[in-house]
Amino acid sequence: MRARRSRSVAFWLLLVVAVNWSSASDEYILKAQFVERFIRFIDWPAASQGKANTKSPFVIGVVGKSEVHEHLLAVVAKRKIKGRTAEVRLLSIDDLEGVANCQVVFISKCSNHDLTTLLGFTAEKPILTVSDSKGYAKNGVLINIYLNRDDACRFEINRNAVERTGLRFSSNLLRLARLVGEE
Amino acid sequence: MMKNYSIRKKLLFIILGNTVLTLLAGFATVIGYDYWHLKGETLEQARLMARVVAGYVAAELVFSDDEAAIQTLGLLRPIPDLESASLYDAEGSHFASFPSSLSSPKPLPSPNPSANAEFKGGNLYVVQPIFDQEGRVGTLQLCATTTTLWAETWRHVRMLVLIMLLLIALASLAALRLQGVISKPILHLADAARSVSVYGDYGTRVTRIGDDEVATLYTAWNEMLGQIEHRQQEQARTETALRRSEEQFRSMIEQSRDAIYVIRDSDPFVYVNPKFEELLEYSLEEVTAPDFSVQTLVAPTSRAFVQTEKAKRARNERSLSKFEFQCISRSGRSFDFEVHATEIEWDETPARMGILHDITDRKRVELQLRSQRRQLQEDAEQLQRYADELERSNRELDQFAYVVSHDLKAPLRAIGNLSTWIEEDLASVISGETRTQMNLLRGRVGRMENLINGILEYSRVGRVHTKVREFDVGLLIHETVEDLGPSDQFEIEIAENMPTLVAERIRLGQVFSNLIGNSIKHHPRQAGRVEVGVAELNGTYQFWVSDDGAGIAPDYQEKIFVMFQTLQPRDRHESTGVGLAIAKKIVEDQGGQMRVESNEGSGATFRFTWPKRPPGEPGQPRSGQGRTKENE
Repeated sequence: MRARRSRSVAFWLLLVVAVNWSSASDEYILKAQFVERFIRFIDWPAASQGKANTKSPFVIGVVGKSEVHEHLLAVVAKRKIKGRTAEVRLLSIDDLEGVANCQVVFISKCSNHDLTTLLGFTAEKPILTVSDSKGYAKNGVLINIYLNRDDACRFEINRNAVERTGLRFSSNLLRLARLVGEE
Repeated sequence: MMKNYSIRKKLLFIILGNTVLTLLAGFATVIGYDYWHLKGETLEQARLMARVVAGYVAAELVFSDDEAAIQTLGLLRPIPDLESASLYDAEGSHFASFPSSLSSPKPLPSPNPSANAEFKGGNLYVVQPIFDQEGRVGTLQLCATTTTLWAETWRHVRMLVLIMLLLIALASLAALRLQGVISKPILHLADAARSVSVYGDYGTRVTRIGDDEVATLYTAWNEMLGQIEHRQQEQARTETALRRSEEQFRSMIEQSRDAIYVIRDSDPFVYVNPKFEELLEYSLEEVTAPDFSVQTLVAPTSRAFVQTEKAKRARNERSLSKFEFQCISRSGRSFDFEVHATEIEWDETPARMGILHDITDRKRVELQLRSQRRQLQEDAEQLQRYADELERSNRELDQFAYVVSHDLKAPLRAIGNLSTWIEEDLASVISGETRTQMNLLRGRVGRMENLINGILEYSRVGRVHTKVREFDVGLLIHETVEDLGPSDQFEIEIAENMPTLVAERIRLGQVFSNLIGNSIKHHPRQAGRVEVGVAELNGTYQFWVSDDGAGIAPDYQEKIFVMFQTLQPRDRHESTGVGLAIAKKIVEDQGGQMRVESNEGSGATFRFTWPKRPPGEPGQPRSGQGRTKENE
């Protein structure tokens, strides 16, 4: 009797964990997908390519540790982004040079200080900053993904920050976002 | 079934039917077209909006923002009767729907259907794929009912139906009025026709209005009636004429003085007329009774004839159409008929009609005439025999006279000569008295010779024919007078108008010679006057010789023409007394006549007629007898 109960408990526990684990994975798959999808609704100014042509890869940088990284890799593996091959680079928070070569930067949870520094760097560059931490949009991240009450992925956009970067956001994207102002 | 309706109804039916059908067809077409158009528009509108919204709502799908999606779908609200607008993801699972209260969203026909818009089962379905730059992200499906569409159409229909009813009402009024244009004249004509057939009034006429086919019908109708009327009148006239003619013919037959019968080859008679009944003493009923035999009336003398004719007819030969026939009446009286038979048609079968003309009297007369003719012929033969005998005896007489005179003259001459010779021989011894007597003797002998010559001459006249010539009478008379040699004191006046004749010149000369010679010879005085004249009388010439001599007393006027008769003793004038007789004979021989007109003391006129041409020529009778009416 006791053995059986403990086996079922263990089973249930594992299931919960698995479910939670998978759901947790699901969330980051979605976020990765969102990132790729955001890109679809955003136009980078032509100048940002610099001397670069379509040959040069489209770089998505991931700052900090995040599960999104591996899923991003999966997402971009099969497709071209903006007609260029996509690259996902993992960057450290202080690798500003590396950030500057990215078109998109995914910022994982980090310290306020690091955030401010990073955002200060990317503020007027045509770099799409995406985060999934609460309040980051207010701080200046362009798009912040969050989960709503129903655990559906939503996102908020900092319009002023967007304007400063010179990136052109589709109205459809803006429409769906919770718009956020500066603080 | 419709055939029995009045023209008015038919016309109304046609006009209204036409109108209604046209209207129905028209309106149905309009409605149908409108509906189809409306449907198309609705579809197009829905499709358009779907397309627009699809482009719009891609982001929601991409970012799985179902709330926002629902809101965006709300843009489709204007689509009439929108039941649901549903979004499906790229795998075809339902994502979001508007209205959000939707209990069971309609599934997609397939996970990734292509764009489509159609009406299915009373609903409008629009399927619109949603794409973004990367590819298909999902599908939008709209479902709308057609309630408004139908309502709209229905409203349309109701309105049109109302209009149509109104139009039909108007059309009916118009039709009612207009059908009269055609039906009225026809109905009027029908009435007229009825009145004609019921009352037989062929005088009915209809007044022609307008100039269409009905008017033509009217005219034709009037003409037809006119013709019928005319023909009726003609027929009446013909009937009257026919009846009159029939009566006429009937009376002709019935009042005919000839008996008329009609018969077929077999007994009895078919018809006989009253005259027949009267003559043969049988009534019509009797002779037409089946047991009556026609043979009863046939006289025995004609029985054979009947058989012959019957046989002829049996052989299909033609029988006589005119023949004589004998009948016996009931009382045995016999009739001779001249029959004229004709083939006729009686009651449409062949028959023979005979007209019996009573020739009994005629036949009798014929017989009489025949016997008379026979008698005449015998008489004529007898006469001819007499004539021949007469001629013969005349001839003999002439011959006798000739011969005798010839034979008599010879001895006379001998006597004369002998007396002369005797006188010469006895010249010395005879006395003067004897010589005187001898002269007397010779004178008597001479006289006798003259007499004999006269007889001879007389006998020659008529027996010896001299040459016939054409000659001038005046010339002849002049010659004759010259030959006579009258004394200068004698006046012989010859008329100027003496004709030219064709005759025996010598004979006429003899006549004139005798007459004129007589006048001269017997004139009491030395100086005298003789007139010779001519007149044309009845185609012959009448000559006259008149003198102013002693004349001849009526008692002797006949005698003088007799031979040897003289008025004076012979020795006074030395006439033989033969001259006039000869002259008369000559004239009578020519077919003329001679007579004298005279009174004692006042001269005499001898008249005689002479034909223009000698007798015996064509047109003239042969001998003196039997002259034509022209003469005398």
